[in-house]
Amino acid sequence: MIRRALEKASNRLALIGGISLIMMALITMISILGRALFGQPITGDIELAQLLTAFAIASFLPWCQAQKAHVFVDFFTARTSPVNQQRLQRIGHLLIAVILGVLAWRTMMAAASALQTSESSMILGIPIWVHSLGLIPGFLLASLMALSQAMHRQ
Amino acid sequence: MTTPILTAMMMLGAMLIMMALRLPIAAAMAIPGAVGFGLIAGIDPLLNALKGTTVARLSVYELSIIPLFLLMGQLAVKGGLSEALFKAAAAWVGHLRGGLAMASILASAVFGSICGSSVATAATITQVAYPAMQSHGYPNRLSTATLAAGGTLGILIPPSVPLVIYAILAQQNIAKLYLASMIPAALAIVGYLVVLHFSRHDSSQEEAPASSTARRQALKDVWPIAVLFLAIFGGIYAGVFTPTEAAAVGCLLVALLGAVRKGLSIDAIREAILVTAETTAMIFVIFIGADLMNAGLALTQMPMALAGWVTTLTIPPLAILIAVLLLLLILCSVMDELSMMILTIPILLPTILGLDLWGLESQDKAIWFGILVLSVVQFGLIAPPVGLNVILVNGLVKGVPIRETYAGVFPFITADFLRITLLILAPGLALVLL
Repeated sequence: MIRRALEKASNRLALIGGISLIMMALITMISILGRALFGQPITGDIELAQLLTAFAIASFLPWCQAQKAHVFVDFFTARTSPVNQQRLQRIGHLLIAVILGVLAWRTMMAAASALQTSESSMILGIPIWVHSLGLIPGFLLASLMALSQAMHRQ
Repeated sequence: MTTPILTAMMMLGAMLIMMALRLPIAAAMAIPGAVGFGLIAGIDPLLNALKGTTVARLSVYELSIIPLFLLMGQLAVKGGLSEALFKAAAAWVGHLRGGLAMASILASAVFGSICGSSVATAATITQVAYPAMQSHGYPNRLSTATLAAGGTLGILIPPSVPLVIYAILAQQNIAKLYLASMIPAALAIVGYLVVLHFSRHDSSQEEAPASSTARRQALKDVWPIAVLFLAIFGGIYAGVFTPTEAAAVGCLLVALLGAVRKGLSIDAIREAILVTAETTAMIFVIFIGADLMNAGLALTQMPMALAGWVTTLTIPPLAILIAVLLLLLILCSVMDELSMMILTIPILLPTILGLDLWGLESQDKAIWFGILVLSVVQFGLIAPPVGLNVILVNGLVKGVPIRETYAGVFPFITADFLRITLLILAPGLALVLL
């Protein structure tokens, strides 16, 4: 049940990330056209692009986890029993859950301290915490996904 | 041995053990890296570093090239461009000895010019070219080997995702790296065609040459791809836009092309996004893991110490370079190519730059080494024991023993080997266009 819900959420978040990436491409294209035709790019186009891409990449994480697409070396354990292979893989999911969870927590703290200092981007004045905040759903959901995979015995 | 170096050794040792135990490569780098960092610098600096790494890694403007080029490749796959390409190539060279195999190589090369992934290139060309070669009685091993080798052109010809990753790791200009890869890529295509020309064929495969109207008709279907490639890379070199902008424009134009030609559906775009998401996230998780490992290693100053130690050796620099390339090749056979690069380049690049190789300047050396690394990665994709492309094509076509494909791939590997040797002896092949 929970697994299903997590998978569905991962899928949706990846698609939202994809839309964000396509929006980044559109903004970039419009900015190039503006620059070439009217000598006037979109103000802060690079800032927007960074914001949208960082959000997109973070939002891709849960889907990658759902598909168990992380690369590992199977050369040395190819001959061990499937049961043992699965055990090792579940440990792997657990480690990923911990790493992404810690990074989500640290990124939250980064957002919190940026909120206090009210730092903002140079051209558009977008607060820095917005930037950090955008990464958190992806990291958190991916961590939960990995945790559920670690606990789940196939 | 000093304590920091010992710590570095233990970090690397722990990493290798974790990797051997089937744990995700990203975790095998992140955890020993973070532990080593914490041991040397203390827990608070570690927590502080973790606060910054994620945002920093995900916000590098140039890095957005990776998801954009991946999406562009997927959209090209879904847009059915491979079919038109193979038909056009077959119309022009299909009547030659081994013509359909040559057409597969050419179609892969052109597809590779809008797709930066060898896996995507091999998979999409296989789907259209394999049935055609089958029905014309091409031997199985020749067909599968050609498709596996042709697929590697996907990363050799710009836009190449591994080359973007190298550019970021080595802090080199991606536009220059793409330029440097052009002649080696052309040599690869020529090498593969020569291999096919000399491979055994029987007359039953021969086909009548296509009429000139058919040829022109076939070209009509594919010229937009050539225009796209020229627009993207011409734009970069004419200074109209940056590589990142080119990736954004290319992505949208391929989508447009797919939409006009085949009515690229919403479902197809959704699938393209999901595949892109999977691969992008996989790459960035490894990046984040490697960032932690490298932050830890940097504190131990191991990479610099290694570079310093290597210069004191009395071994000829060229021998060291070859040893490094062999090491990379061996690593390629146990782990995937991108992780291999992300893991080794930060550690080994200072060593390479410290060597006196053909009297090259540091920057030229970095670019030349990048093309060498790319060539090794490409070689690793079809070389036994674990050639990812061979496994992929074999999995797609079903019913051809993998041994046979490896046997068929041997002549292509020989061509690659000769090309890499040539590139080692003549850096000018990469650097002359710069």
